[in-house]
Amino acid sequence: MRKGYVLERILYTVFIFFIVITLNFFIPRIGVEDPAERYYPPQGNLTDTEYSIIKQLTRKQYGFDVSGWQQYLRYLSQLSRGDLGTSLQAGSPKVSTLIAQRLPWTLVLSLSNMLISVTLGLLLGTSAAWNRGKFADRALMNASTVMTALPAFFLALVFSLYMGFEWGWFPAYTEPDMVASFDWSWRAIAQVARNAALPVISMSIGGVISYAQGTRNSVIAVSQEDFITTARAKGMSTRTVKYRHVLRNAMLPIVTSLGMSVSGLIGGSVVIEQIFNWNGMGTLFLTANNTNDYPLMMGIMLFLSSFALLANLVTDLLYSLLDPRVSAGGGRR
Amino acid sequence: MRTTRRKNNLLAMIWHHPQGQVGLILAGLLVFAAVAAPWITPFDPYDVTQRAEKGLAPGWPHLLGTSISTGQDIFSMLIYGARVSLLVGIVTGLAIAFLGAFMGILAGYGGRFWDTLIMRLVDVMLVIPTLPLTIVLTNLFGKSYGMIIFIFTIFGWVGLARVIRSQVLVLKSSNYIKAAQLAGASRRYIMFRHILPGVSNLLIMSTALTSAGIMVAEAGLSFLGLGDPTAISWGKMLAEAQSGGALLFGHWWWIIAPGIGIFLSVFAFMRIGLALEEVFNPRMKRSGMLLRLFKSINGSYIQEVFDAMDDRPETDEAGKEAAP
Amino acid sequence: MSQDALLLVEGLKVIFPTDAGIIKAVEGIDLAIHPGECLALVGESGCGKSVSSLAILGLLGTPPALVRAQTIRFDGQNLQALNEQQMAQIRGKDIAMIFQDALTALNPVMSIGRQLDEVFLKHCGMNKSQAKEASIEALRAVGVSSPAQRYRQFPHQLSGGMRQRVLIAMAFAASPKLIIADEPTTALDVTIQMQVLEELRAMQRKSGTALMLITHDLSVVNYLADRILVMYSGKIVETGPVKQILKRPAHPYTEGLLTSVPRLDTCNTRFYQIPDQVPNPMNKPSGCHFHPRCSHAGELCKQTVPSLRSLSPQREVRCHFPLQKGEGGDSQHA
Repeated sequence: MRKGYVLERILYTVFIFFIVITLNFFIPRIGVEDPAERYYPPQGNLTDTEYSIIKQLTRKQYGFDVSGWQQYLRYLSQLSRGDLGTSLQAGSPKVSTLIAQRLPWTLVLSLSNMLISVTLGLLLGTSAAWNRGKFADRALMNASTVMTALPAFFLALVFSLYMGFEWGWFPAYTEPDMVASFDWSWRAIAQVARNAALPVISMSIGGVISYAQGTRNSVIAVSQEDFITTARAKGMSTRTVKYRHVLRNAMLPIVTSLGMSVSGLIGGSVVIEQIFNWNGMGTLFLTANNTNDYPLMMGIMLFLSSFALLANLVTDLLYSLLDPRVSAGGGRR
Repeated sequence: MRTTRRKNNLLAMIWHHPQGQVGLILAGLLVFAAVAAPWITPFDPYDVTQRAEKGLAPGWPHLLGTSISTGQDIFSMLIYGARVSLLVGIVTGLAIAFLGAFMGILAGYGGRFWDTLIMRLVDVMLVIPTLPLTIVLTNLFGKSYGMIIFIFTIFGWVGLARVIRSQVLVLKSSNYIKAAQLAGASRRYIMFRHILPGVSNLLIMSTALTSAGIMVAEAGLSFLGLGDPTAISWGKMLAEAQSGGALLFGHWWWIIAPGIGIFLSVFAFMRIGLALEEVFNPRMKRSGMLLRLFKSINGSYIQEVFDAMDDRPETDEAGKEAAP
Repeated sequence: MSQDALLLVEGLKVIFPTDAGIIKAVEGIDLAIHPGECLALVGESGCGKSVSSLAILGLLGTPPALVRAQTIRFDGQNLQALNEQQMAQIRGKDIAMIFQDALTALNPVMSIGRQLDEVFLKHCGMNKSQAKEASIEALRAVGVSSPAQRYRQFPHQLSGGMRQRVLIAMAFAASPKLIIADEPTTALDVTIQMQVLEELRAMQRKSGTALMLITHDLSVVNYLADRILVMYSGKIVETGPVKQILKRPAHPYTEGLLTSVPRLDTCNTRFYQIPDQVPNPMNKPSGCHFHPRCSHAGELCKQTVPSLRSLSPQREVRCHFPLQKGEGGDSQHA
């Protein structure tokens, strides 16, 4: 029964993957008759004939000279070789190379953020739930109301202003030599930590509150279930009830949100990266946007979507391990 | 007709809820500010001739100083910024409510085909990263708030549709729906006259909360420069502040002001949404209440209640002694 | 008589303060259970019977409930004087509970086996492998088929009847002196009910455990119980041996309950229902709580709450105009 579930999920993911690829193929081609005009917009100093020749060459270079179907098939075969395209940047680097360069840096931020948010969030949330109505709980409710109304990037600016510029605790802009001089030494690691501090703090404040709130609600909801009364009636100690019975069940929805947030792991830090000039996928994408580097943009999009798909799949499978009710054909939904 | 009567009560209900009241007042003020901007601002930020000295600190007549880059009055920009936030937030919120409700009801009640189709669509949309896609689309099709509203709606209906669909599934198995089916009502009739009112509470609540979320997202997009470059918005103010050197020169007012704007508008709508939730689902008692209730209980009153339950020794008509 | 009672409860009162008013769930009830006896606590939903059992075991939290009792004594021990840890020692070991809906009463993400093991591990001082053996044996004893297999399964994989048997097994596991069963068969199909009841009766007879059966189903009472306590709107309105009460009820409410049980051997065209509804626990009728629905009610009933009075050495009733006059004349305390 479990194997069937796994297979079903994988096949489904593949199916969605194909839809995503197709979408990815079409989006830059929407609403344009001649894609070459995107790559080489008309400029005043060319005659019509010169321009049409250039367009022809551009079309040839980027493969727009064959029929739509053929383009699509070519695209698929290209993807199957792991080639996400070639960037329009100087030197025509491969999209996959660029992604590989920048990805780890984004992960530094996202993973730190996730780690802090989940651990602190769980601690605060359970503490609030078990001390209902008292200080911890009320503080969380108030913080929650305030924090959801303050976007992370605003916090980032405020922190950058005070902790960065005014008080000099952390660098407000990423030190330019951080990437180039990284050599896995302690010095380098410390430098990364210093630079990552402000971005991570800005992102994780919201994250902590969010997980704390979710955990609190989940724990409270589970605590009111009948089987908790049964456990107490069996004579289980309060500690056993709290941890083995309540938490074990309360964690399930949290795992789900965790899984969902993983898909936003890479694409979600665009604004923050921009504020701090952090050398990650976010700034890569923004640069691509500013230079109309379509292959790079679409390549990154595909990468992000695939990553999200994979993350969903893994979360689903992981969840089915935790919740025995699922593999019987149910699902997180 | 039934729905309008309920809406009147709705406003009253929010008003009576303490937090809802705050939300309504705040939202009202913001809407007023947005609408009356040209009349209540001391300066017109769009008017180039009204620029003043650049980089002034808060004082008179520029209550929040002026921008370093252009010398515009920050206070006036703050008021004008409300227009974009509220417009995008509310319009998108409503659009998402419509689309989400439509899709949700269709998926939940329209039959297996629609359900599968819509849910697959949901799965695909959830996977695509929204921010990068927005960036791509504004690149391809031009930067404007109309485009932003469009994109938000296209992505935003998904979450709502799922929630509505669950609710529809619950309603579907309820007795009065089954009764209507037996009476021969057509699918369309049931969807409009029974299911839709059944989810209306959820819808109204979600609209408020969604609008709040959209306002945050819009601020982020404007910050990245994806909105109309000619319009004044809080996100854009923050971007200008950053690039104009507010951080470098410590002009905190330029940063804090739009931030407060964003905060207030999101806060107001969230309050309204949460107040609605408590009004519709009174079981969700806030945790403090029960504890406070217990603390404030008058001990002697409770003792009286308990004592009143005891059997009183009495003699009955036959004169027999009562049992203790 | 109350001296050798296993469980003695006197003057139990439970209220739930809310901002809309005070819910008076239990208004001073007394009960006594002797070793090996089966006592049935009968009443409609909302009369306070489940709340009473939870209160005895200290399972009602203080928000939201307020509990007062003159006596709650079990096996000579005053339960009210115990702290949470000490109560936890008694729960499951000396007093166990069986709950109504086995699907929600079992932890959905823990295997049946583990949930059974918990009891053995905590109260019988066994190690893991001993507990496992004991659990499997317990499953077999309640009539669960292929117990070793079931041991590893989860609650949603079992049928309703089987889940209920698991709850019974959990209750009997540590050989408690008293088991409180709250509507043990209500959530089951009628056909399964009989099987589970037989299981329960067999186990009770075999182990000599006292049983407090909470139910609204009179057929179950007839099958299992020795004595009945009839409860209405937070008060006990009639007590006595099962056979006597079912044959000749003294309280109009009890009579109403009996009459509303549909019978196969008579040919009534309509089902009988006690008119009106159970009183709102926040806003109870004055005087005798039952008077608005009682066909024998008089003026006195509206004004004064009747006290619980003996009809005979074994029977008591709370009514100004009871249907039975009692055997042998004057009341006598046993």
